[in-house]
Amino acid sequence: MMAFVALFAATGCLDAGGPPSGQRWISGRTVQLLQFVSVGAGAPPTSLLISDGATSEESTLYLASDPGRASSSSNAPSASAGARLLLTGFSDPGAGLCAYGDCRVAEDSLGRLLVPQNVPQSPGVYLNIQELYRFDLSTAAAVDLGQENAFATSPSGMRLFIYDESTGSAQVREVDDRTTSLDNIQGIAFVGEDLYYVQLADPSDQTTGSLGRLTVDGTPEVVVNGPLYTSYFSTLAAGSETLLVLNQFDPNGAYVTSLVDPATLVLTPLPGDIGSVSPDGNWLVLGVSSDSNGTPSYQLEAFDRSTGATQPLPMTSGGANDWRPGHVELWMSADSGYGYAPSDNHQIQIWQPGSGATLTQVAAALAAYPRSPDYSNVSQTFTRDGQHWFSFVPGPNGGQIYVGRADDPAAATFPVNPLGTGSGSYWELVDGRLLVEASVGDYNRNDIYLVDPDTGQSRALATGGHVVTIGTTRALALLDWDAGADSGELTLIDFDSGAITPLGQNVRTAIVQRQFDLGDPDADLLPPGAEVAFLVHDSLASPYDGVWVLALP
Amino acid sequence: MSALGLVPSLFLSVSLATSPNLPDAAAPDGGVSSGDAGADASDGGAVDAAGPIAPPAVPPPTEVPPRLAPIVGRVLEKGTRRPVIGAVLAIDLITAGETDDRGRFAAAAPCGPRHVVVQAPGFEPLGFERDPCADPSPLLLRLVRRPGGRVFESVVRAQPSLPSIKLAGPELTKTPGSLGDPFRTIESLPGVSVVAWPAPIYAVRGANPGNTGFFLDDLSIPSLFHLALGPAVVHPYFIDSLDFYPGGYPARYGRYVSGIVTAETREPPADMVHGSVDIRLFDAGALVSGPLPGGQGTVVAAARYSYTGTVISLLSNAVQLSYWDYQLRADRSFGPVHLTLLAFGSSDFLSSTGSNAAANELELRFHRVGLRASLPIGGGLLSAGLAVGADHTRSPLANAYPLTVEDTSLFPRLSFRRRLPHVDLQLGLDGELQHFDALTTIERPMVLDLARARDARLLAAYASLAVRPGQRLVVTPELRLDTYEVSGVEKADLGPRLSARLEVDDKTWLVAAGGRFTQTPSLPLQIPGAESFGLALYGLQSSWQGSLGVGTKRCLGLEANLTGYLQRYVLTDIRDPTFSTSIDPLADDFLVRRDALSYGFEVLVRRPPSERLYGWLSYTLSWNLRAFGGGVIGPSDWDQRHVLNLVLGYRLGRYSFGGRAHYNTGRPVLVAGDFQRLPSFFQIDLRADRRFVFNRFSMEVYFELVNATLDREVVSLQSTGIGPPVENSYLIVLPSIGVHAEF
Repeated sequence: MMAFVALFAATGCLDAGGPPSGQRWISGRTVQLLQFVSVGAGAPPTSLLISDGATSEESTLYLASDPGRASSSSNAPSASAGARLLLTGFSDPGAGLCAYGDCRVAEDSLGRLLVPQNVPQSPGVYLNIQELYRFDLSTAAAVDLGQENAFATSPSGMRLFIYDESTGSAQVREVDDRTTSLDNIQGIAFVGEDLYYVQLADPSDQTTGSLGRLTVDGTPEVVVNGPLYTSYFSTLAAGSETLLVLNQFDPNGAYVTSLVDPATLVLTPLPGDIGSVSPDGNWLVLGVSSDSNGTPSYQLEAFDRSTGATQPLPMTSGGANDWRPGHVELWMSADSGYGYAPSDNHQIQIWQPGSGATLTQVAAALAAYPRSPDYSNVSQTFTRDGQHWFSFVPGPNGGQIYVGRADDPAAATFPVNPLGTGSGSYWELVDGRLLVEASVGDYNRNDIYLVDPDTGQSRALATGGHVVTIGTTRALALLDWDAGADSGELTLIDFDSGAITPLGQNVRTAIVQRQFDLGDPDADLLPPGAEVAFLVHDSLASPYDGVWVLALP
Repeated sequence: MSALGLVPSLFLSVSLATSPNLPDAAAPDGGVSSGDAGADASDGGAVDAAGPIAPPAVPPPTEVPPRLAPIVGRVLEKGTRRPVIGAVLAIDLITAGETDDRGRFAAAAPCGPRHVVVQAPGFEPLGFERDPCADPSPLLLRLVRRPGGRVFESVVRAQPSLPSIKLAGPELTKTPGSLGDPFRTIESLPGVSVVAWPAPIYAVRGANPGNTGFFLDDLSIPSLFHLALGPAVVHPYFIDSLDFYPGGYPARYGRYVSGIVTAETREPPADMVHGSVDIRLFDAGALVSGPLPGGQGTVVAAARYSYTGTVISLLSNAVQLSYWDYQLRADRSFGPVHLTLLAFGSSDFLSSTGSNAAANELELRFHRVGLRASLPIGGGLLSAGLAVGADHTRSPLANAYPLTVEDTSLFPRLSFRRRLPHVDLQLGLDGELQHFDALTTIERPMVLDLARARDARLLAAYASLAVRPGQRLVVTPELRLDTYEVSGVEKADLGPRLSARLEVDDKTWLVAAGGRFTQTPSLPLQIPGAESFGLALYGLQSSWQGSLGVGTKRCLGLEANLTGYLQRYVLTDIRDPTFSTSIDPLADDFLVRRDALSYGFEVLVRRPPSERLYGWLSYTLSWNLRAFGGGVIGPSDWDQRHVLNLVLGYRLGRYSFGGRAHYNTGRPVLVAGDFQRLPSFFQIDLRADRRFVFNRFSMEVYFELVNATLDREVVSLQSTGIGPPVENSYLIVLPSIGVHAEF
């Protein structure tokens, strides 16, 4: 019997596994990771915003900084042990915005945080009313900016628009705290630093609005008189210009989409709904409805901004159509329906101003294939440089995306994801190669491939996860994603060597210092030394649960 | 009568098996009694004319005797036609002899009315009047098995030092809750956790369900149960006995890191043709056995077919379900060589009839055919066997991977056993040579080799030495060398095993067992064709096992065992046991290699089925841990701290009643990313049998109600974000009514 005892003594106990790479800043199982922030204008973003709470309405906001080596083994029970409390009742933006990749707490141009605090109407009952606070992290000063239902900053963050629905009033706060009040505001948009707004003359009459403007250091002015309908008010990037789009009533009382050029303040009614804008900003694709002999129809037309003339496009509705970046070429599916039915006969129309449309036989249907992380307002049918186009063949688990050279659309195309998988988006590397995520149903669990769009050569890099972000030479990914535990293994993937560097297990989310630095698409977000913060949350309480920060190797 | 009592026994004689005048075993029943149809249903014994039976040889008298006449005939068990061996024949209270191994007897008695009584252990005595001179025709006597009596004795274990639980007789087919299925009975034994009742998926001593092997006459069964709560793929009455090794199993078996269940097929009776028919609500089966022509061997064949699909189709046309299975065993001797042919197979088909139905079809099928030869040689027994297998699995795999896997296999086996005065020696080789073909439209390069064509070569050699240094101690050291080659990746492992049994006294013993065991990576469920994969990715699964137990028979005729065990594993676990969003079973992280530790205590208090009141109480207290990495050691997915089963059977006349009470504490589940435990589950199962005995066949009508207490089992917890999680539960009650007839 002693032999048995000796036998099992020799086998030893279970090894619980070591900690992740890096240093733990905050321990706990209820914390949420928000973003890197700078303490002081111009300083590098080396501190972290952390929220901690059971619900998005009742979270507490903390600021965490590098605690030093001594606390790396800290087992503090909650976020408060290693962080500075900023605000209770914090309205966590992650609850609704993270799906779009932007969970940021807003900042102004001086790096001051703009944080809404939920105001309960009664205990536990919250409506869409918050108190807006501004935190200066370098001075620890907090300013109550008042009640708001919505707020927005100008692109530079120097101007802040705050709207209070209960009073119908709004204020524009400059960076030096000068404020301008506006009443009966129905919609706003920043064009550059200028604020444009639709203002009603009579709050009870939604059709009597006018378009106003408040420039920096200016005073409110009406730039276009109504009647305007204000349910839709937005900006439209047209080449290097930014246009305003809004609705207007025509003499018959019908809504008409109109375009306002902020440079000229000319209001141009359009004969249809705006679809897309050519890369040079001159051509708009419009969807024009008509009713011929009682049969409603929908026709695409090209609108020439320079002349105001329209040209019919050889496409009715459905299917993909997109402008080729760097070219004034509108590509349209010429297949019936969406063109996704299995078929050996696919065609596209390529329309160019002046030369009209060219019908081309292609291997597969023109497809929209979003590029990460900017899923919207960019071409989805072409690569960023317009050199390659995407098509689609239906199949099990989603179907295959194909890529081909846009200069020769009839030439052979190559699959970017294997048969039997589906791919919802891709990342485009600086050198033009495609980092493709292909899944079989769970979009958090992808096989990750590196695809050369010129040759179709594909190399499998990893499996079972998704990309957090990419740099110029490598990607940060959460692999072996466990859907039940909602976590994966934080991993660096080197594009050229395919080397996999595990960084931490049971990671729910991860952010890099310049996660949202999208201004320069060629910027390397993952250089050596760049800090990555990640949230470890094991299914069972782990001594390593909490927020960890590491410098990338 | 008193004068008759003075008839010296010298005048009575008996001729036993060697009598050349008695007819062959198959013959006497041919001319059977005229009363079969009308009088069959009586429960009493019967006396029939047996047709022409030659009178036995009677020794010549040495003096002038009274006139004698023969009383000859045959004694059979009523309802089965099986001969009753060793039945004692008494004529006018004087023992006249016993029946031979074919149930025959022959005696002589003076003329005149004689009172004849036939008795046999376990049977009601049969008495009648007979004047041998007035009616010398052969008799055919049918004894009625005594209801509620001791029906058989436990079988002596072949290797007493190895810790196993043997089930036989009514424990196999009448245990409440098992639906008459011998393999389901193990869910009431210690060391076993039912993963999700009533699915027959068993986790033994903390390992995964796929780590327990099931063997039929040494051939592994690729898929034990039919789909949709169907029965096991082997006909219940094809099985003679079943041994459950929760750990520390013998070296002649391998490739499983947890326990094994070995079933021995029933050797067909050689006397005559027998058969049985089973009809249940959801399937029907039949078994026929008998001697081969010429009497040179025996054969038994069984088959079963489910009409569940038809029944379901009557209720809904959305689902199609069907299954069948078959078994055959034939034995024949050629001189000193004894050959045994074993064939078995199974098929399941499950489909929905909605859109894309073809892609959703699940089809599981396998066949095994093996031939084994045994030859006494060198004072021992040499056995050689070769089996071939063919598997076919077509699966939608959660609609994501339409995949068809086919494999063909060879299973060679060679062993030599020799028993010496103090040592039992056993040497052997066994192997599995497999080729897998995978057909799929998926072209993912990074999937498991489970979905690819591959070859596997699993070979093993073993040696076992059971040493008996004295009357009370048996020590069995064993060694097994396993080699694995899967998709070109090779691994080898040398597994020592040791077991010992010490008889402390006549009624108390100690048993210890342990060793090392290895296995290729495995799925949580055993699926034909889904084996021998992933060796490059995960390496071998392995375990070090150890157990120490004490047993006693000191009280109330009960056998009580207490066993402590400790198992140290390296296992392939499912990474996401919740399958919470989608199943990706071919991804290389569907499984994850983990260190595991299981330990606990098992209690088994048992009253043998030979008693009128029989059954057992089993209790398992266990801790099943996994090293999840990331600093966490936590409970495994199958961790149930307490499992309690009380199984009782009681025979009352032609009736028998049984019940099972089961209780288990909840296992851990993921709830919104965190582990919580399911609530406990309790159920009671009931069963009642009524036996009808006819002269030439018997019939049992039974009713079983599984989960008679209508308890709901909670299978998962769902977080709502507010308050405690919602319990997802189901209520399943399994009624079964059926008829089993045998002749």
